[in-house]
Amino acid sequence: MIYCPKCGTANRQGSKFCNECGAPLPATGLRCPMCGAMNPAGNLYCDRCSARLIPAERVPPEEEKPERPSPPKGISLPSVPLGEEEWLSELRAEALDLAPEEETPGWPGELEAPGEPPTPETAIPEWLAELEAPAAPPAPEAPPPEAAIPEWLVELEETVPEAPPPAEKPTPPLAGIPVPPSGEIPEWLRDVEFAPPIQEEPSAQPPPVAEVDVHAGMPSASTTVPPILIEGEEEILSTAPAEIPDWLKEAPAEAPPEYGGLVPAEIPEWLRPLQPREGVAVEEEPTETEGFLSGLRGLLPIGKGLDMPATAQPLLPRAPRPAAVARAELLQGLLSRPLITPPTAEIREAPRQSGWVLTRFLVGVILLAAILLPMLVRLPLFGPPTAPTAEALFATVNQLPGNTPVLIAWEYGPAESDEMDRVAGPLIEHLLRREARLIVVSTRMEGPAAAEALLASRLVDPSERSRRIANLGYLPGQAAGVREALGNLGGRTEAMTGLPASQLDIMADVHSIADVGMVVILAAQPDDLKTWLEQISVANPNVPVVAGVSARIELISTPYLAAGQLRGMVAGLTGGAVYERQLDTGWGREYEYYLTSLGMAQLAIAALTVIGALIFLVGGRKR
Amino acid sequence: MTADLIGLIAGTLLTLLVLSYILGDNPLYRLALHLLVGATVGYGVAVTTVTVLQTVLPALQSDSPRVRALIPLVLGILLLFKGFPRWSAWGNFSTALLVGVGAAVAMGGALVGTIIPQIAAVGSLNVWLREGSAGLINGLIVMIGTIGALLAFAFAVPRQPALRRLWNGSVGVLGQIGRLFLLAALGAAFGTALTASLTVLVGRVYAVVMGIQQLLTLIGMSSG
Repeated sequence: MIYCPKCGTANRQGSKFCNECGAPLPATGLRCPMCGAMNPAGNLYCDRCSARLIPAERVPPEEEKPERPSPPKGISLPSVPLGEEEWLSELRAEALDLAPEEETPGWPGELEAPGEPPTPETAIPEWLAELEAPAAPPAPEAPPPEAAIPEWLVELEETVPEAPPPAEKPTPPLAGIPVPPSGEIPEWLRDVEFAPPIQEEPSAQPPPVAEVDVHAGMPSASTTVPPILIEGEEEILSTAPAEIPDWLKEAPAEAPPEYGGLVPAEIPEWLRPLQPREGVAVEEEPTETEGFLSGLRGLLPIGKGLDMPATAQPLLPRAPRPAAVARAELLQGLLSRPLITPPTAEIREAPRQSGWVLTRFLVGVILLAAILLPMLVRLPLFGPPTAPTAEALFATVNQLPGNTPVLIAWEYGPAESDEMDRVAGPLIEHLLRREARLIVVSTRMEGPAAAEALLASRLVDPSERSRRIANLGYLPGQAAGVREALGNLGGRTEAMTGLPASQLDIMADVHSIADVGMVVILAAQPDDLKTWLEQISVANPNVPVVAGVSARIELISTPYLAAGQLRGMVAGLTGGAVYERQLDTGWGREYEYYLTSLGMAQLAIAALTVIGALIFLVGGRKR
Repeated sequence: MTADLIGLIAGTLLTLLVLSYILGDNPLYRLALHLLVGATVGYGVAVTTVTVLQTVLPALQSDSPRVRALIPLVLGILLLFKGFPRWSAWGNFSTALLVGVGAAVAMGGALVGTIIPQIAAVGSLNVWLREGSAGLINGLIVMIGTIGALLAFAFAVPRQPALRRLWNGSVGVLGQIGRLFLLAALGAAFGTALTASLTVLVGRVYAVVMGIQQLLTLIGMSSG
């Protein structure tokens, strides 16, 4: 398990990032001395280059093999500070009972001079001794020369000289690697300072854990790390330096000032990169002082500059760059230059303008001729128009009882009056003939005036106006105004006289849409027709509604007619002509002229369209 | 000279000024345009003012509860603050009331007056059968055209080849039919719009001819 230094989450061995917070986890495992690849703890050979990771040593017999400590398998954060560990006690006990000829490996004897006191070299493996290792493995648990030697270690050391040579020879040195002369110790190894030994007596103070380098994953050579018992783990991980090969110590520790008589050796070529450089200051990593990580250092490396207060960098350089200045000057020059129109553009534009004017003029003349011709010559080109919807509307109005109040939504103005007057005229006259009371309203500001003009032309006796017509004027508010007016017709004011509607005889029994016998919508725009139809459907869906609409919105009005929401409809000049013919008001000659002129204009438009298409196909496509 | 004759002459002259656009943009056309815009704005302001005053003032003077007229009056005055950026916030409530009430009324009307009746009419067999076989055929055409026009805008296709073939064979074909309906509808809409415009032109030409005839009669050059 690897514990995240940031959140403390336990992660699977070999994980590079924390599963909880994503923080990079400290690298653990064994680094191959040959290729540098990281291998899982416990690997004997490198997964990449198959080099041996752990130096060979004599394996004690099965019954003598100590169960603990186990080989280093990385490092985890300490959770419970402990005193003396069990394995250490067992080891001490075994050391007391150990037979010198059976238990002590041979390599300490080779390193130690007979009769001399034990030195830290006793922890050096035999294979290193044979190599005359330039970097003797520091043994953290080995007492420094000036420190008091524990009793159990003294007894253990006393047995060393008498130990027989090991049965198995250690792995010979690798070919090609220069072997330093025996007894030579690297210069950098001499300065290694050994940590104080572990206090054997149980102490109330927690063991020193501040020197654990989490990022390195392994303790440095100078650290003294007690065995760590992880709660919930079955095994006790030990980071005893005696178990760590020297090549795993990335940061070589300084050799002790006195190294037990070993002669400094020449550093082999492959170890030179590990040699500490002189004069390079090692930055002290911050040590955690709070929380359960207290005492650990290097958990959150501080990037250079991160601890410095941020300073706002100017977005723009203080002095403009020369290139920017040059571009600005060029732009300024272009903008300050007077606009010069190329003469070729004038030459090309002139014929086009004249051509467009000529074309437009010709089209206009043709249209005017087509419209005026029926006024000069009677052209029986078109038969009588038919409009079933207008006939249905005529029948509906014809059944209207006398003196019925009819609400008229006058939704067109002078701009559409040339068409809409021919649509609404026969219908209005028919209503007047049926003795209907006409109540006019409009959501368009010019609507009341347009209504007044047509009503005045169709009303035979102007003195009957007050008895037959009530122009309630303009309804502001669009749909909301319509909805309000439908419920409060009696509360409005007559537009021409300024009298309240309630004081008019024609409005005596009309207060809302419920009192109206029919609704006529005269609309030139689709939105007006829809607004009135929709609001009438909400206010009083039972009142019959008819419409006189422009040819422009005939298609939009047809679905309402098919759905029964409109009882009849006069659409366009054709519908008006049909209604006029049925009503026989005497305006037939005018409608005949209108229809003939309209037909001639439509033929002219069709002919011009065909001619234009032919011109385009023959010669205009190139342009 | 009566007001009708003055109006006829003014209308004839203005019509000729507008028709001068046939020769391109010119000052006469611009003059007529400016007159139209100015007269429309002035007339609108006058009508609106008179309408509001005619509605509010009698209500304030009557014996009926004045609050019904006072509330719209206050809201209308607050709405005037919208013309001044510094105090425009005072008109927010009036604006919110206008927009909210207008949207609610329009939505309710559209639902009750257009959407539901039109859906019922398209899907109702009675409507189709009202006019016999012709009505039935017409209803089927309307239904196919409606569905096809909707599917004409379905541009996504399934990724699976089998579903894509099925999609192209059904939705694709209906979409093509819908495009034909769209073409026909757009053509018909253009035709009706052109007819309405030509009708207005015919009316203007007729008015100009009548105006000239009136002028000639007035000056004794024509017997009418």
